[in-house]
Amino acid sequence: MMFPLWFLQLLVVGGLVLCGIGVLMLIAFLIVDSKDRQIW
Amino acid sequence: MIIAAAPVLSPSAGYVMLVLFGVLWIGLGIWWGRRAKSYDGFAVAGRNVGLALGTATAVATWITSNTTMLAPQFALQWGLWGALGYATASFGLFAFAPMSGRIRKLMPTGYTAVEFIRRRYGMAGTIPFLIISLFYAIIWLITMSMAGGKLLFVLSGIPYEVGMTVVVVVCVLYTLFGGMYAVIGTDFIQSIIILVGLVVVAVAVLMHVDIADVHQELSVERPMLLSVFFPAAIMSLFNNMLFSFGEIFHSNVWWSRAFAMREGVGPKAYALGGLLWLPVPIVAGFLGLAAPALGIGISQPDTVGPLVAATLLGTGGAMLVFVVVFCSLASSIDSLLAATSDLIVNDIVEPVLPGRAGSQAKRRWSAIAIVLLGVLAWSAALTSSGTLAEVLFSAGPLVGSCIWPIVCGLYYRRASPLAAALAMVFGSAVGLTVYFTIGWFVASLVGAAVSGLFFLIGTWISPDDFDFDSLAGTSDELPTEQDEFELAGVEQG
Repeated sequence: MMFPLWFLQLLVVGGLVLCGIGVLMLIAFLIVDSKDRQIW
Repeated sequence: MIIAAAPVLSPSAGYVMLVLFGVLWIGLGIWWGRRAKSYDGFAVAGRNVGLALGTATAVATWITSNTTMLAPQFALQWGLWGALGYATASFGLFAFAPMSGRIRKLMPTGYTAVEFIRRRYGMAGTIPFLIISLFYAIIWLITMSMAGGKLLFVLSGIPYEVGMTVVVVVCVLYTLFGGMYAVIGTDFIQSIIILVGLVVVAVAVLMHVDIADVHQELSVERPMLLSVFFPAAIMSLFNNMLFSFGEIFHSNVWWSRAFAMREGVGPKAYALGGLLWLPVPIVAGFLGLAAPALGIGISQPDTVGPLVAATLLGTGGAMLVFVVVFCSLASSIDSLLAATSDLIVNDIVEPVLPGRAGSQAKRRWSAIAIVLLGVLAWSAALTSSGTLAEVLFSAGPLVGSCIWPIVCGLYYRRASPLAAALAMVFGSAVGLTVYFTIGWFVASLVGAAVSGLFFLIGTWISPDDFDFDSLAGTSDELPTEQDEFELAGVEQG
C-alpha cells in the first residue's frame, strides 16, 4: 500500500504555505514588539 | 535525462558569498555586542527577549544544516516516512514550550541546564549530565563544521578544509563580540532568509517537475519510498521524536533561551517556533524525493538537497542554497558556542575558582571558552570521517536517557538523585550498545525506554521530597558588590 498522490501534494503545498505564513508572522511580531519597545 | 551532479557555482563566487555574509554577521555581532556590557547581557541577553526574536531564535537554531541536508537524505533513503520522521523533531519544541515557562519561573536568575541538575539532584546527577551535555554539544558543533566544509565543496568546489575553517571562524568571531545578543539577533535575520530561501527553491523545483510526476516515478522505480508500511522507517520516526525530546530537553542551547526570554514569552515562542519549523524538513525532504524523477545523479546522499536545487536552478539556485545552508549552519554554531561556553564558565570554571567570580571575570572566561570550543570543533572536523548522520546519531541514546530526569525533575518532587543517575548511566550504556549492534534508528528509543525503567526503579528505592522554591532561593548569580564595582568600571584593590 502506497501513500496517495493527494497526501504528497498536501504535505508539499501545505508545507510551503506554512513557511510563507511563518515569515509574515515573524515580521508582524517584530513590528508589534518594536511599537511596544519590547524587542529586547 | 541524467544531469551531471558537479559544482555549479564557481569557487570565486563562493568566496565572494563567504566574505559578504561573514562580514555581515561579524559586523552585526560587534553592533549588538555593545549592549552586552555585563555577563547577564552577554550570556542571556539581559533576560528580556520578546516574542519576535524569541520565536525566530527557536526556529533558526533548530533549522540546522542537518535539517536542510539530512532531511532530503532521509527522504531519499527512507521515503515519505523519512521526511515525516524528521518533521517529528518539531514535537520537541512543542513539548519544551510549557517547560520553558516553568524553568524561567523556578530559576529567574539561572544560566544553564547543568545548574538546574546540580541544584535538583546534586553531584550524582550532575556528573553524567555534564558529560552527556558536553559530548552532545561538541558532536553537534563538529557535524555543523563538517557540513559547512561539505556544502561549500559541493556547491562551489571550495576545498573542504578552507570552507569549514571560514564557517567556524566567522561564527566564533561574532559570538565572541556579541554574545547572546548577537546570537539571537542574527537568528532573526537567518530564520527569515532560510524560510524565504526554502520556499523559493521548492517553488522553482515545482516549476521543473510536477508533484504527480514525482509520485509516478517513485511508484514505478522506487515504490518502497512511498510505502505506508516501511517498518524501519516507521521505527526511525519514533526514534527521531525521542531524539529531539532528548536534544531539546537536556541542551543548554534551549535552556539559555528560556532564561533569556522575558517572563511569559518562552511558552509562546517555543510553540510558535515548533509550528514554523514543522514544514521545513517536509519541504526540504521533497527535494530528495524529487531527485529520482529528475534523473539527478547523487554521489553523496547527504548533499542531495543542495545538489537538486543547484542543478535545477543554476548559479542563482546555487547561491540561494548556499545562503540558506550558511544561515542554517551559523544559527546553530553560534548558539552552541554561546550555550556551551555558559556551561564551561558556570559549571566547570566557576565552581573550582576561589571565591565568587565577578561579572567581568565570567565574561572573560566566556570569551576564552568560545575560542577553545571553536578550535576543538575545527580540529575535529578536519580529521573526522563518515557521514553526518553517523556522527550525529551516536549522541542519540545519550540525550534520550536525559528525558526522564529533566521532565520529572521539573515537575515531580519525588524524583531523586539516585533515580536520575541510574536513568542517565544505564539508559546511555544500553542505548549505545544498541546503537553499535543494531543501528541508530532504534538507539534513542531504547536509551529513553531503559532510562525510564531505571528512573522508576530509582524513585521507588529512594524517593525524594524536593522543595521547588529552593531552586530560586539559592541562585549562584545574584548580583554581588563585586559585580557592581566591575560594572561601574571600578577596579577593586
